Order: sequence, then structure tokens, then C-alpha cells
Amino acid sequence: MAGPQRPLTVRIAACVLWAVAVTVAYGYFSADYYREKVSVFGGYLLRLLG
Amino acid sequence: MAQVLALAFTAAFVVVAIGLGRLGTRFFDRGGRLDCGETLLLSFGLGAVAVHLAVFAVAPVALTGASMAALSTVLALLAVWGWRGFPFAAAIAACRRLAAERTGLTLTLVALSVGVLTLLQGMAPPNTYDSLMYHLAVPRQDVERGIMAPAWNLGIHHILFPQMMGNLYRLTLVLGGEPAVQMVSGVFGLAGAGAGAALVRRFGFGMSTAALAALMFLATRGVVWQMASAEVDVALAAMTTLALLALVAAGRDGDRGVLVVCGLLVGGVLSIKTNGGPLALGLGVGMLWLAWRGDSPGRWARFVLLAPAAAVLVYLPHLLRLWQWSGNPLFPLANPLFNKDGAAFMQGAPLALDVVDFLLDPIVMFVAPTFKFDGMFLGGPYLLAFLPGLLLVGRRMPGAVPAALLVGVYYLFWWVLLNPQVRFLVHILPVVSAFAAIGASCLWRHAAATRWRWPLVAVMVVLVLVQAQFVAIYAVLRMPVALGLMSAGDYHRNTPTMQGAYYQTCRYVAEHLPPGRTYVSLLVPHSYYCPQQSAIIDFFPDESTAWLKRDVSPLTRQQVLERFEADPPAFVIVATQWENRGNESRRAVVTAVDLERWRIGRHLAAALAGLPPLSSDAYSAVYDGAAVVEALKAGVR
Repeated sequence: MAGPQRPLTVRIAACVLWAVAVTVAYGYFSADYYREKVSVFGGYLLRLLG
Repeated sequence: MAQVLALAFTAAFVVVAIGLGRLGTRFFDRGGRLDCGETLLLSFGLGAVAVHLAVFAVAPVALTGASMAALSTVLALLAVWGWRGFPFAAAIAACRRLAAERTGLTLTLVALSVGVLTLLQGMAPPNTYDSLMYHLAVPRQDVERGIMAPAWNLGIHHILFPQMMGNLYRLTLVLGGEPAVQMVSGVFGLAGAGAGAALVRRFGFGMSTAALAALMFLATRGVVWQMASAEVDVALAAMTTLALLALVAAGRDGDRGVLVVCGLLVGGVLSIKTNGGPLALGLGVGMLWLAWRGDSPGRWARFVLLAPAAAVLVYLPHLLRLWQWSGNPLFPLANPLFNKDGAAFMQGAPLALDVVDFLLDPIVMFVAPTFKFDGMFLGGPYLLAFLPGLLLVGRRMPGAVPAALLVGVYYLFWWVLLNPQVRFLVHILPVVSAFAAIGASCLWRHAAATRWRWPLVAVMVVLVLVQAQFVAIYAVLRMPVALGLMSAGDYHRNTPTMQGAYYQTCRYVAEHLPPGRTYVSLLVPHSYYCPQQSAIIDFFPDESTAWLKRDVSPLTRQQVLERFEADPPAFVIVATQWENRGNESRRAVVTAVDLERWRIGRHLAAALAGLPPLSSDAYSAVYDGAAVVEALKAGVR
């Protein structure tokens, strides 16, 4: 069983690592965007909630 | 009250559309290829096409409350006939099967919650750029004059774009009122999600994966934004996916009736937006693949001739109308070919083909969308994160090849001609969501029992939170006004990033414009909220089609003055500044509007500079027409 299992395990690991990498990269490149949106919408939401 | 009417109209629209469409699915699906859910979805698509064609036939004669009410009565009676014999027992049994599957039920309820929450936001006042410029402005002008005719005075080629959604909006504006228009658009989002889920079932996966596909589509930031607007991209996504669903259901042996259904829906695809052309091409490539895999020449002929013939039949009225109105059945495409002295519209930017970009763009648009593309259209990168999970499927997926061909052909077209506007990829998003859901499902199934379980759970939690905040922020912004807890004026004035839709300026004009008078509009775009027929935008009424020509003669100040003296404008309304957010952080950069770009406006800049406005807000102002003419005269002297 070890033979056929290994490629599957490698594929699972590759898929999970890909998902992690994509998510981290998104966070890195979108930091400025989120900073701007928090400043724009934060005040508005506070005003809206009174 | 308006909200109740909007909800009732939207519900009635869905019921009538499904009933009308079922006349078609019942007639064509004699082999019983379609299950209950597919029948409902495809019937909705066919019914929407039928309503569009009915309005297209009647509105050029009369677009009034009486004509639309009479038309709706006829359509409703036909729909009753369509609903006869509907297998309600089978539908209830399907719901029971779903209720017995805990994960599938939970994901279905979450998807439905997101979808319905977004749908209700459609009752908020319209504020998207293209809706204000033409998706709603053109139908409003037709409603104002009680007949469907070209809105030449708007001076933009967009007025003759395919009108399927425009026709549904015309009917809705007349019978359901403004709050219902965007909900009718939103219903197509639900249909697109359902079609994506049905595809997953056709590919051989269970209810939970299908519900995940629907949720992935509905939670996309751009879908949330567009479902509650009068844009047409989500409707095009829905119609494309419904056509693909019919093609997959027709199967390798090419069921003749279901292929006709597919073709009629492709006609709907062509009738919604010009981008329907490449989408139809992508579906056509899938048809050819199925034909090639088929067993006999007769089946080949069905694939190659039947569906395209049905598509052309649906699209023909639009082609004929374009020919009648502009002399070019493909308008605005290839205009100089049909009109010798005609202007060329929709000229693409020069191609800059780069193989590295071609390969990397699908990644960049997800992980760094603000660096190259049209902003954070997709939200979090969950589709990209889970697509590789398809490597773990480990078996054949019937019908997946035509779906993949559609995505591939359209992506190629998009990359060459429409890049970098990710919003134009929404058309294939239900299909991409279906593949991503299958990837996520397979990855979870294989990783859950390994040490990769917890890293995967962590990524899923982060991605869910990222996407949930996009869903939530739109709900917080739009629900108070949608439910009548906030005035339209406050909504437009105070909501960040929305620039006001020129609401205050247009309301001023609408309330003070004397009957029969005209006014000059220098708004960018001329807003849906302003009176449409009485607006002089860049061309005076005697030269309203001049913009269709290649060479447009400029006006001298004396010529402008002479026309103003012959027909004095009651007001001149002007855009004063706008917010540009085309940068990496999407921070607003306020830019003054340059009136020099306007054919009429360039002569008014100096006159307006010394006048106090009658009304103004952060982005626009209203000036008294007589005062502007006097100031202009003084300038000429």
C-alpha cells in the first residue's frame, strides 16, 4: 500500500500548501487595501451605529 | 409599501418566467433528460427569454402601464398553463433527500441566506456607474416617452447594446417600480448559483459539493455587488451556465429537444451582452467536442446545426432592430463596415501579448488584484486555493470537458481583448465555482484523515472570514436603505466610495424643470436619476445622431448661443469633481472635472466660473439656465 499511497499523500500536501501560499500571498499584497477600507468604512459604520 | 410591491413583483416575475419556460422544457424534454431542479432552472432561463421577446415586440408600439399590464396578463395566463402537471411530489422528495444530508443542508441554507440577503439589497437605490449611465437610464427614457426608441440624446453607443435585461427592466419600471428592478437582476444570480450546483450534480458529485459551488459563486464580492444592481454581468453568467447545463444534459448522444433548449438559452446569452458572442463560441466548441465524441453523422448535425439555429432565432429580433435603427446589424461592432462614414466604436487597446502574463494573470487576479486589475472584484482567493483539489478527483467527470472548454475559450478571449477587467470573468464564475467546489470537496475528503487536516482547516477558516466580511459590508451598507430605514438622499450622500450618483442634483432638476423645457447636462455619466428625454448632453436635438458619424464637427460659441436663444435651457448641470480609486490601495484621489472635453461644455466653463449654483453637492452643481446664457452672451461680446 505504501507505493500507491505516497503519490496521493504528495498531492494532498501540494494542494494544502498551495492553498496556504495563495492565502498568505493575498494577505501580503492586500494589506494596504484593507488598511484603507478599515479607515474609510470604520468611521462610517461607527456613525451608522450611533 | 414600495418594498412590498417590489417583493411581490419579483416573486411574480419568477413564477411567471418558470411557468412560461416550462411550456418549452415540457415540449422539448420528451426524453425526460432533465430532473426536477434542472427543469425549474432551465424553465426560468427560457421564460426570461420569452418575457424579453414579448416586451421587445410590444414596447416599440406602446410602453405604458396599460400595455405592460395587458402583456403581463397574457404571459401570466400562459404561465399557468406551463405550471400544469408540474411534479411537485418529486420536488418535495428532492427537498426531503436534501434535508436528510446534514452537510448539504447546512451549506444550502448558508448559500440561500447569502443569496436572499443580497437579493433584498436590490431594493436599495441604484448607484453603479453603468446602471446610471445606460442600463437604467435608457429604459427610463423609454418609460418617460411611453415607447421604446433609441435614446440618441445620450450620445453613447451603449444605448444599442443587446436589450434582454433592458427589456426586463422596462417592464419592471412600469409595473414593479424602481426597487424591484435590481431584485429582478438579483434573481439571475440565484439562477446562476443553482445552475452551477446542478452542473456539479451532473459531474457526479453530491448535494454538499453542489451547495458549496452555489455558495462559492454567491459569496464572490463582485457577484454580491452586481446582484443588487442593474448591471447585466450576473444575468449573463446565469444564462451561460444554464445553456451549458442543457448542453451537458443533452449528452454525447445529443438529445434533440434538450439541444434546442440549449440553443434558445444561447440566444439569451447573445441577447444580454455583446460578450455573449465569445461565450456562445465557447459553448459551440463544447458542442463540437460532444459531436466529435458522438456516434453518427445525424447526431453531428444536431449538435452543429440545431442549437445554433435556435440561438439565431432568439437573437434575430435584436439584429433586425439594430439594422433598422443604425444600419448596422452588429452595431456597435464593425460600424465602418456597414456605415461608410460611421464612427468606429469599441476599438480594443493595442494587443500586448505576453506568455508570462497569460500564465500568471489567473494567479495575480486572485492574490494581488489591486496591482493590475479592476480592484478587489473577487474578494478572497478561495477559488484559486481549491482548484488544484481537482487533481484528487481520481475518476471521470461526465460533462466536464465542455465546461472546461467554455472556461478556456472565454478566458483566452478575455485575456486578449478585455484584460484587465476581472468583472468580465464573472460570466464563467458559476462554472469555475463548480470546479473549485469539487476541488475543495475532494481535498477535504482526502486530507481530513491526515496530518494536513489542521493546516487545511486553518486556511478554510481564514478564507471564510475574509469572504464573509465582503458579504457583510455590502449588507450593512445597503440593507438600511433597502428596508426603508434610511432615506435615498442620505444613502447617496453619506455612503463612502459611492460619489452620490448625482442624486441631489438630479432630484433638483426633476422637481424644478418646467414641462416641455430642456436642460444641459455635463454629468459624467448623465445619471439615471435625472430626467432623460429633456436632457441635452453633448449634441443639440437637431443633431442628436451626429455622434454616429466618424467626423463630428465642433460647435463655435456663437452656434451654442444661437441654439440656447432659440430654445433656452432651464438649467445647466455640471460634474465638478470625481474620485479616482484606480490605485493599489484603492485610496480616493479627488480630480476636478475638465469641461474642455465636452463639445458644448467647453464653451460654458468661463461663464459658469462666475455664477453661484442653485444647488450643489460634493460632486456636481446646478446653474440657472438663463443666467448661464446671459454670462455666455457677455463672453461673446
